[in-house]
Amino acid sequence: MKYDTALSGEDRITEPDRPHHTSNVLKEFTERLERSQNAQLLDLGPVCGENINFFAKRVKRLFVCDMFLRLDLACRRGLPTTNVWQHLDYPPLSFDGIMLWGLIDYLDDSEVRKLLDLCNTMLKPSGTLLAVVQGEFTVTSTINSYVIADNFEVYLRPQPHLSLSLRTRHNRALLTIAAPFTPIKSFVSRDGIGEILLRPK
Amino acid sequence: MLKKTSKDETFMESTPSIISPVSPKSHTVIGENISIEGGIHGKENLVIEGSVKGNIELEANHLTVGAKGRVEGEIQADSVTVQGRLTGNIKASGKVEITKEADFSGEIRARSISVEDGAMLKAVIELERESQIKAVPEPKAKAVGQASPLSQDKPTSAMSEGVKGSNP
Repeated sequence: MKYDTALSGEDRITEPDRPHHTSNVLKEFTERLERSQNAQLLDLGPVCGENINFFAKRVKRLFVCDMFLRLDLACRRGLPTTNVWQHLDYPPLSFDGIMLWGLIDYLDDSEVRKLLDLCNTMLKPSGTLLAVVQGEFTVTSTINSYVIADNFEVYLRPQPHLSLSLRTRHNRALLTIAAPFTPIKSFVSRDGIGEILLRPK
Repeated sequence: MLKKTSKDETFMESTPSIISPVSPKSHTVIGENISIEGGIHGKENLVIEGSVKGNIELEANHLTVGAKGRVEGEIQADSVTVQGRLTGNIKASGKVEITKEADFSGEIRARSISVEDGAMLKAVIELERESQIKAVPEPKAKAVGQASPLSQDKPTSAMSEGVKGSNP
């Protein structure tokens, strides 16, 4: 199965079943979690069975709260998206890790700030935030899950049931918004997908 | 138990089992027009297409919350399939399956799990871990900084690896 990409002339990933890059950022994120015997991890979606299995076997407790579906539902119903954040009602300092698989790409700057503030509150001081973004180049307007395969390979799988407006931004703009955090590691794949590992300042 | 009606699915029935009353294939269906408030304890598979408020204990059997099923309560079973709405905690000795139509809120403790794309989840998942924590060696610099969690990670600049500067 193939899907359209916004850029042409380069070898874009078009087969969601084929791993497209090895993520050293994901590897480091995972290794940090595995150092703790009682790690708690929060995944904000999209829901992905492979990722749930990957992490649920490596952390003590995996929390899943799919914000994509909740944002999508609010948009379809014509409701303000500001209310969806109430679902992130976890106590402060709960998590050793939080995963933002592309969520930032579908939020405006004010929503990103609000989300990152929430993440900053929910993360333990030693915790890390994994953000995956499409960067300034639009790879595809299709919402994808970033599926973890063997050996930390990650590939994209379209989520046709989701429809949200894409708001790509320059990496520097993202780092400015992410002011409460310090970047630890980052990577930009050939396909323009950016992976950033952050920790609270 | 209620018997199956002539045409519709509004029934609560134990399917007959010739050899054993607890045959693996025997199951009870709570039809979509049935509402139950109270606990359920049983030794056969159960399919819920109706509404149940209460705890469900099936121990060595399978629970299915069907696409039209709505359940609020604590679940204890060998394995569980959620296709409808389930609010509560699941404790399964085997597998938990969450399908794309499911709306689940609660905790899941199980041996294994499968989740389809599109499922509405607000969940806490605890699986049996394949192996206990792997011996991931701490970098020497971090061992020095253990007193302060913030000192464990020396920040590096963005784009520390990969295609530096290609997408600043």
